[in-house]
Amino acid sequence: MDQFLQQLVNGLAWGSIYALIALGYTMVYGVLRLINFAHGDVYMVGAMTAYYIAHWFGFAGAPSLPGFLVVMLASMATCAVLGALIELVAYRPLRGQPRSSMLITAIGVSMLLEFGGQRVFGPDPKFFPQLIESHSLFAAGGVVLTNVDLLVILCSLGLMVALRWVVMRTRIGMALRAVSFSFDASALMGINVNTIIATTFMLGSALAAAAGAMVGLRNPKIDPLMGLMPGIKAFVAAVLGGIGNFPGAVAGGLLMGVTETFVAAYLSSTYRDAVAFVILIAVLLFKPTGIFGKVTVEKV
Amino acid sequence: MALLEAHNCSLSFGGLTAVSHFDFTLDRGQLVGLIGPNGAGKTTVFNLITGVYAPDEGDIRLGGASIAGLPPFRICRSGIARTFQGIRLFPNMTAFENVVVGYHRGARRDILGTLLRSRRAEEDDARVEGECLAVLRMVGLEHQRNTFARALPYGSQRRLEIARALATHPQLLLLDEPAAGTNPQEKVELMAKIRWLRDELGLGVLIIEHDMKLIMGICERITVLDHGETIAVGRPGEIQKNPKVIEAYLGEAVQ
Amino acid sequence: MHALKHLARNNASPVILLLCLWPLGAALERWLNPYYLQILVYIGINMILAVSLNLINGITGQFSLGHAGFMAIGAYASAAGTMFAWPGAPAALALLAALVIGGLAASLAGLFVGVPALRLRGDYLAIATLGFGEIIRVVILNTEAVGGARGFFGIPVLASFGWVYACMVLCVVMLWRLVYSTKGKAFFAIREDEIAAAAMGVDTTRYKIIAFTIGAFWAGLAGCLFAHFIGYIHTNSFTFLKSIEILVMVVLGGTGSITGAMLAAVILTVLPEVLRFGAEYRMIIYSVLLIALMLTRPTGLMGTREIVPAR
Repeated sequence: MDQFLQQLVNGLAWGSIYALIALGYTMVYGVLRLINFAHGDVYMVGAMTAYYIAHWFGFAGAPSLPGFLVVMLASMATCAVLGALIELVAYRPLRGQPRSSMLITAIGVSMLLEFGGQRVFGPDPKFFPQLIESHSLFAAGGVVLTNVDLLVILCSLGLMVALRWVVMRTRIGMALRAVSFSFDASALMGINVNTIIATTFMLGSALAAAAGAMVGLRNPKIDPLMGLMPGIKAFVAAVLGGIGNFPGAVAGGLLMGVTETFVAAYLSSTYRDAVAFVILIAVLLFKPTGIFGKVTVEKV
Repeated sequence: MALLEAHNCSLSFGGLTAVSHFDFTLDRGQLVGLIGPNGAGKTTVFNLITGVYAPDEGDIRLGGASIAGLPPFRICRSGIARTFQGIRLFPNMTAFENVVVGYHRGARRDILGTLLRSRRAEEDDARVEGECLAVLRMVGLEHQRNTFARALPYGSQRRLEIARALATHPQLLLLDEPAAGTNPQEKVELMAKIRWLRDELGLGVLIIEHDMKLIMGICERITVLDHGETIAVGRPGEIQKNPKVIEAYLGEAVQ
Repeated sequence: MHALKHLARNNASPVILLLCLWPLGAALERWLNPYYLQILVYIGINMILAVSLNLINGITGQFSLGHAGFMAIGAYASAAGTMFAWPGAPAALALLAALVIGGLAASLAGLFVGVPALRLRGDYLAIATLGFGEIIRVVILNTEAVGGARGFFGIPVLASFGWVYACMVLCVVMLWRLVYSTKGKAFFAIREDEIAAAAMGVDTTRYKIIAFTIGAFWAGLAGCLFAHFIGYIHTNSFTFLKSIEILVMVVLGGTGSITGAMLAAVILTVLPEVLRFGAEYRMIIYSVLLIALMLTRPTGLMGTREIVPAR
């Protein structure tokens, strides 16, 4: 039972990370119908950026919660800019083109970030500074809940709530939802579609960066290729929940984290990564619209 | 036995009823029109007949055999061909190649011959080429046969779509707004062409159109849809005077 | 007699070409620097991979990102056959059997992927095939019988220039004749507009399955040739990155162009050797190339045309 609870904590922590990244995928897919392959790599850049900011501005030596939050926010801002830049340079020019062109470009951007990252950051893993000293908050039997775990879960929750507030209660959020439904109608209503799409990328990238910073805290070994698997898993999570659906992305992320952790713990750790693909194939075969998704009918 | 029969067909998308209790018959060699305001369900009826959607209830028969729920390619092979409201040609293929795809079924299936380029395969290719050119000639596009479909002028694209549909050797031809976007001269030619197709090839033709002059000019019978329901059926003269039809298009008469 | 004469006339050139390849290969093996010979062999193998992926992606318009998975199945299945099923066989027969095993195993996988894939639209299909490729890799990685994480050693080196290019010629001739025939136009039609194609009587399901199966078959064959040329295979050669490399060839060559894919295979096999700045830059160049291509010339070098007119 102890192991079960411990793994549950682990699963929820990872699940929160996946949920944050999945939200980015689902947002972009909602407005552009594009699978932003490069999104997982923005998460990596987020972790790296947080690393450098922590070192350059002296946070690394003095662990503190406000310190970490500043680093995380700075990383989020930087990656928001990166996300907008990627959209502007690589995706916007292709907007009228067949979907496969954008997909191929996205693959290109992803690889550029990964291999470019290897050149810029160096291929060897770095160790994320311990910006918050980890101590256990709650230990009963074999189950340990550290302050870091709690921070990850609460912080992610906070960001998701913030996003929901933006999407549901602000004008920009309403415009975002409008663009998801119909590009042309939104444009006709006076919405600057380009601005909204850029904003979408910025929000998604900021969330991914936050995820990256938090992962650095929990699993300090970071490297330029760290975005590959989490990116794919978060995407699968988004599909599982119903791509384009925000609560779905969160649910999918948490489910993915928990499932994967349990498979690794009780079955075999070598199959951990394969879980995502098995879930993907299962979803695509049996319920492609995901748990919460809607079926859209193509007009003939 | 009628060529096409629809009995009590209905189709809904979620809460929206697109077509309800649709009854229809069409005989060989008949030219029938299907009209109604936008959103009335006309293209949906086409999609039901051609198998894009299966009716929630009711049946559709071609030559007495039920075709409801069959996949589109089977329905085409049974003898129904169509054009689309927004032209759906194969843009990066030439006019000739577009028609060849329509002729797909008519070519012999001969894997070994194709791979080894046997005499039989080459002879069959020549036969297909001849037939497809003949179809292009029917719509007056034989000189554009090597032009990419995307490069053809709009009017020619509409004609190519008809040619491609004809290449499937249908008994029934469904034309979805064939005159949309064409100029008056082209419309007159189109009317003559459709009549010719019925006279020469003995096809049954069902046309969706908004151009009243064209519809009233060539159709023997017209069915009027509004909000998925049939509100009138009859000869052109009757339809033009029918108050329900006028109301559907223009709204209630001012008292 | 007339019919036979006809067959002879149409097939003379490919057959003669095929027969010349082994002597040519033998001569090259004697006189050419082994490093250059190896590049030539890789060109041949990559041509088969590019042309077969082009059938699925470029011609039929089904976005498949799992081609390396088919190659892996072909490589491992054929190697297992050579090593375990018929260890003492004479070289040519062994390779022939290996090719058949590799091709068939891969085409079965193609069938297995193709059937469910039919319901998926563009981007979903891409991810599903990517997932399939990864699952294959992970399964092989965990299969001790074929070497697992250590890789599969000691595969007899049976393939040569002659064999590789003979397979390449067969592949190209077969696919050319298939897609540029009357029925073959259906493949292009599915890419152009699947709904319209179905409305014109094309059994789109059937053709998509055929495209996947044939594409997978040749990828498997390429895998077999690769395995029996190097003598050692490891799943690291068959990752998602490999699928991307092949995709770049198809995109560069021009989606839908068989000769374009061949040309791109030559360029992208030779270029990394010519520009020897090391592996990290190679992938960066590939990614920039991919982006630049999509932004400036998405139709690739040849677009939808062939170097030799086919239509």
